[in-house]
Amino acid sequence: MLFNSFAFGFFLILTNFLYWIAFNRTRKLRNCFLLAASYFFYGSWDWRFLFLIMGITATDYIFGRLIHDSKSDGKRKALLAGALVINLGVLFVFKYFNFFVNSANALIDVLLGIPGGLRTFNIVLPVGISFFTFQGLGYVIDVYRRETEPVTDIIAFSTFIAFFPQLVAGPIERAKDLLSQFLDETDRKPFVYDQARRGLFLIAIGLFKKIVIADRLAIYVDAAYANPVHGLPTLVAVIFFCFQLYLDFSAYSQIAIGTAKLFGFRLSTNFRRPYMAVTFRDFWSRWHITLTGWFRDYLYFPLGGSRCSATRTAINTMIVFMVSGIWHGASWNFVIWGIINGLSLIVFDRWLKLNPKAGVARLFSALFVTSYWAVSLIFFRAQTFGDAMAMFSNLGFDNADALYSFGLKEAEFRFTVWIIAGLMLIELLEEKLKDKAEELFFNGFWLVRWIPYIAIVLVTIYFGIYGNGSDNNFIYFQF
Amino acid sequence: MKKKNINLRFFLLLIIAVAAVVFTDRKKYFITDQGDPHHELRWNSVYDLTPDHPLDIVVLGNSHANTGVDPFTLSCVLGCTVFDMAPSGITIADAYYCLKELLTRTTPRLVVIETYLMRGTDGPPTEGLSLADEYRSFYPRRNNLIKLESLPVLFDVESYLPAWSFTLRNHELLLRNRDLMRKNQDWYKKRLAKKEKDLYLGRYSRFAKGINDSIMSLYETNGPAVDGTEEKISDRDIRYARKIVDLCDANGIEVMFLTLPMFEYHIGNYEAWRDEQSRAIKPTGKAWYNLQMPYLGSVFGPDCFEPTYDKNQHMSILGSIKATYKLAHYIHDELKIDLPDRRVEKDWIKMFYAKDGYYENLTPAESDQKFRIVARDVMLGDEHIIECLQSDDGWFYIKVDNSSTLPEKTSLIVEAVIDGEKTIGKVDVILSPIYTPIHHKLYMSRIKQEVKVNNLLAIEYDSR
Repeated sequence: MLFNSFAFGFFLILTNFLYWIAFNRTRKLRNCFLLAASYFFYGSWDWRFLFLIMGITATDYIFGRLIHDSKSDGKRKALLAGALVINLGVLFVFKYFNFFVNSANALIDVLLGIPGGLRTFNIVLPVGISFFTFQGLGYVIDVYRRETEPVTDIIAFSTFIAFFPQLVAGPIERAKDLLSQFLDETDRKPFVYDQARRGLFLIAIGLFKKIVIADRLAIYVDAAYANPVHGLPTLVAVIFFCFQLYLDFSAYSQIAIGTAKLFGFRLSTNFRRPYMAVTFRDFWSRWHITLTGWFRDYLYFPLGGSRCSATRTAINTMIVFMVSGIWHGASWNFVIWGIINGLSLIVFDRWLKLNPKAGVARLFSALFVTSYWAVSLIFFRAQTFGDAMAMFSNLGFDNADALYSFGLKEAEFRFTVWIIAGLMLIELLEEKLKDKAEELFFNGFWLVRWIPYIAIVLVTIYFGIYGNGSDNNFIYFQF
Repeated sequence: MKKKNINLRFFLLLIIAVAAVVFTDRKKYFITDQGDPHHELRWNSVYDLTPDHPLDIVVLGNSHANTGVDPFTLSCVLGCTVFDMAPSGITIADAYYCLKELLTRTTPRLVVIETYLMRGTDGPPTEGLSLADEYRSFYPRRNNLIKLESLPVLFDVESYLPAWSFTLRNHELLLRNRDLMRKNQDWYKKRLAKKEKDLYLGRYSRFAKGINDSIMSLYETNGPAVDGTEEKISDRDIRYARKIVDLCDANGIEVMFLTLPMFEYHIGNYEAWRDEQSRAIKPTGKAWYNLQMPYLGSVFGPDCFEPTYDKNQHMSILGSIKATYKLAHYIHDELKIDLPDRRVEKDWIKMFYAKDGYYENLTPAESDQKFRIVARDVMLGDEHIIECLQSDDGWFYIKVDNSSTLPEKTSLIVEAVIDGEKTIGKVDVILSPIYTPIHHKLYMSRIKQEVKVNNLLAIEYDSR
């Protein structure tokens, strides 16, 4: 059940209605209902996955309690190690086993000259596994660090792990932020008009970004990556994918946050205008913020972070980015993508920091950061290393005539470019005005609010790509 | 602080969106079916005709039925009103809901289920032509309760909303093909306006030509296009066939199954397919008239079928006339159900006057513009001539009693006028192998337009 499907629309309306009308009586009742809805949502992909998420939930719940109850540090460490092994082990089996087997076979082939005979599993990757295992692990580590009290309410904890708005692609929430909301003892949760209104608006904006722009970009990008043509068409594909990925994932995150708001929950911001970033550090503080935060707190800091020598800091950075790469997908392309982005922080940020932070220089810095990121995404998008190399070798400025032969006719192509330009302009304004923009939008004169509402809804209806027959998965669902 | 109602605002926004969609739907900006208005015409016609003009026989089917059964001819042969409730591409589940809606307007005496409705589908279509056909069939239906009831059966959840709106499913034309949008709209409106002037009974005659040599050579080189062993009937087919029969039984309506044929070389291993079909039909205990049976191969020659090697082969116009007459005889002679005789109703005659099948089966008025009555109710020797007609384009009809023993080839001695000169001549007529009315025999000939036959003088035939 995708967020941009009619099925989800029906599901959301029904569950939200029931939640506020029938189940908003006690905390337990609310949580039970949300858990049932979340399991239904997750089971709609494949009911067998439910056993997995229940298993991970039970593991993290039990280990959290055991760690908290243990007096000796050794035992606590051993229990933490146990939780890590189980969570990462599950992730390894489902996501990485075949990758490592294939890599080992290739290595045997290269080193010994004989075909590697290690066998792979025929296994389906459960949707969202990387997200909910990391969320569960974060909780166990927080309990180990005594930053969070272990929860005794298994229903609340299960809902925290399986909460459907953020289950399949984040934002990856911390226990202190989200779990605490499921433990709210209020009997009858108040319905907050402003929160619901902002939730609906976020959902509308997310759907607009996803089905009007990102899915349209996907048509071009898929065709261009499948059959690269030298010159401008390939260059445009690289640029388009850069926007597709951002719009697709940020749209997902906005719908997730908006949906949670409709149920009276707050989720963390996942994107904050990343293409306005002027340094790479700035970029990573704006892009997939919750994952970056997770890696920072649970990997980078334990490795020593930046409170050590420059070399050690650089190594720590590279480790984090390589792990982040492999987190995204079981392929060497993602590792290379991670390395390229790790290098950007180590090599270019020093130079970018020397530039003045205003005017044209700021614009050029942002362009440089975004362009570098766009090029790195060739490894993210290409299926194999060879495909990525083919894209690099086809970059150029010739063959402009072929631009309209990748699924988007001229009118649609122009529409897409203009709407991206418009969106970036709005982001630039938001960047300048900060909170004032939101204030103006949500609390301004009614006409200022209603014209954009109506425009977004109508443009989404008349220019969106939806319904049966459109291949419209969210990119991050595969992770 | 003033309490604000989010539901009110949400619904206001929803109403604006729905109003916009309804507006563009009504304007038909996003139709994509190349101006084919048959789906809309079919339901417009049902609602226009009924309840004042009850539909006596309803043929449930899809494109096989709307090309293969001519409701005008069948009406004229049987003397009642026949309607093809046969939207192209639909399955038997859709046919069930079409019938259900139809029954809110009229109660036919007989429902004919064309068996190509049972195509082995086991759920709603999610893509391609099947989905488009289902959308096109669903959209013009008018009973919203039955439409809502049918929604989960006919569509996947992702199609629930697009099923109600051209805009929701075809709006991509705005950016991809605005020329087609304009062309479709113009064409559609013109055709709809033109067709709505005439009586419309659900027929879609599409194939004027029969199978040609190039298709015949494909049969020789590649063999049959359809392998009967691959054709399956699904549980859903069986279930909905049963539901149609039950619905008809509950309303006191007779039911029969009809299989319209494809060319005999077109299907291999037909017995396997027939066995599959009988799995659905036999348990209902209803009659099955199967025109695909091998012994009928000589009746339906290559000129009776669409010239295609595609699996889905329809009947040509000629084929449909033959099939329609055979069906009429089956209903009259085998089913023997009590059908109303509307040949005496003025309204009915007005509806069908000069339509396909009228002159072959019924009597024209004295003032008819197309057919001139040469003689009526006369004896030529021992032969009773019911009627002799001559059309302005040279068709010459002789209708004789069914009890007549005239051979297939007969000659008439007639008095005629040619270029103002009176003369006596001979007209050779043959017993029509295509037009086979129930109430008389029809002999036909094509004579030169300048010859005006004024009187019948004698009959000549070889008595051997």
